[in-house]
Amino acid sequence: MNIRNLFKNNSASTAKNRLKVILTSERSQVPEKVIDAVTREFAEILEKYFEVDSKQMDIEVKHSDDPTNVVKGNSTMIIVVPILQVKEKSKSWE
Amino acid sequence: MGQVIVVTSGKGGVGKTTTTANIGTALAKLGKSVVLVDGDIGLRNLDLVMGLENRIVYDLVDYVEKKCRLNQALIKDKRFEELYIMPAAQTKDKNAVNPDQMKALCAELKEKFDFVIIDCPAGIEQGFKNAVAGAEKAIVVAIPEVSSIRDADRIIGLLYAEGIEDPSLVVNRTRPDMIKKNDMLDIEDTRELLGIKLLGAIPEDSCIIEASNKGEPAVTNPNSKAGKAYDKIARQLAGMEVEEEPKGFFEKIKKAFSKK
Repeated sequence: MNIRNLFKNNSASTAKNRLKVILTSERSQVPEKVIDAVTREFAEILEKYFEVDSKQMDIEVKHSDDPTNVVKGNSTMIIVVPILQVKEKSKSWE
Repeated sequence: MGQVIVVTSGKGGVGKTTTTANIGTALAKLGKSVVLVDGDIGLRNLDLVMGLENRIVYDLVDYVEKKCRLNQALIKDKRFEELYIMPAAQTKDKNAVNPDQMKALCAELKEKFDFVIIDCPAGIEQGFKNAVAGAEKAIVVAIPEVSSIRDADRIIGLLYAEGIEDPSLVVNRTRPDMIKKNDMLDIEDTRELLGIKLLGAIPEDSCIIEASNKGEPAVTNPNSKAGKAYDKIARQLAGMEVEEEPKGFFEKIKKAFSKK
């Protein structure tokens, strides 16, 4: 790695993040802020039971007619949340 | 029976015509019979990139309207026996043909050629629908840049809707120096964002402009890096084994010795 890159925002990751949001939003025809909210709220639910790696969370929407889509004819949202460990038994287990 | 492949991108200026010309010529180099169809009615350019602009008498629209015979609308390449182009009409517009006529044309051409490659116009309107109508496979060309990737994603959705199930990606005009500095999306990032399989990547190469200046596709120039990358794609399309490039210096030496 070039030492100069440490002091500079690299534009490729900015592009990737921007594209990720816009493509997810366009494939599902849902506004970007809704995608953000869904992801956040989903993580909040999981965090009640698990320790999750929120930095590695990922969201993807498949094109509605993509043949690899599980549900035919609708776009499908896939949220990936890496679980680090199950939380200690708490009230939420009851 | 041959196969019909459409080369598309959504955004203009990312290298559809260059990709069509080079993959087609590379397949002809491998001994395949190939016809390149210019789907960009009203804005034809494939003839120019192939250096065949002086030979056009009849075009795609003339043939579809039965004003000429098939072999009058096919222009034979200067360099390769089994390579032809079907030029687009320059004085008509995209509504001069319809998807059913294109389907019939593609069905007829694939009886005669191993590969029918259609150069799709930019955009998502009638011209796109015509170009895609008769195709079974699609190659999506994108450059590692935000607007090209966004448009490519729209196109991929439309290809699925047209029943093309497994489009493949060509990442064009990559700049290894910029990718190294993290100032350009790399090939895998681009593929991952678009979620389709990778067919190949073409490095930015000044030979491409020189090639179109002369009307000789880059694959005819043995010194062109882009040309070599297109050759590799053609071998893959032809179902031939593609030799992996040795990665490091030592691997290159090892490979050089093992050849003897």
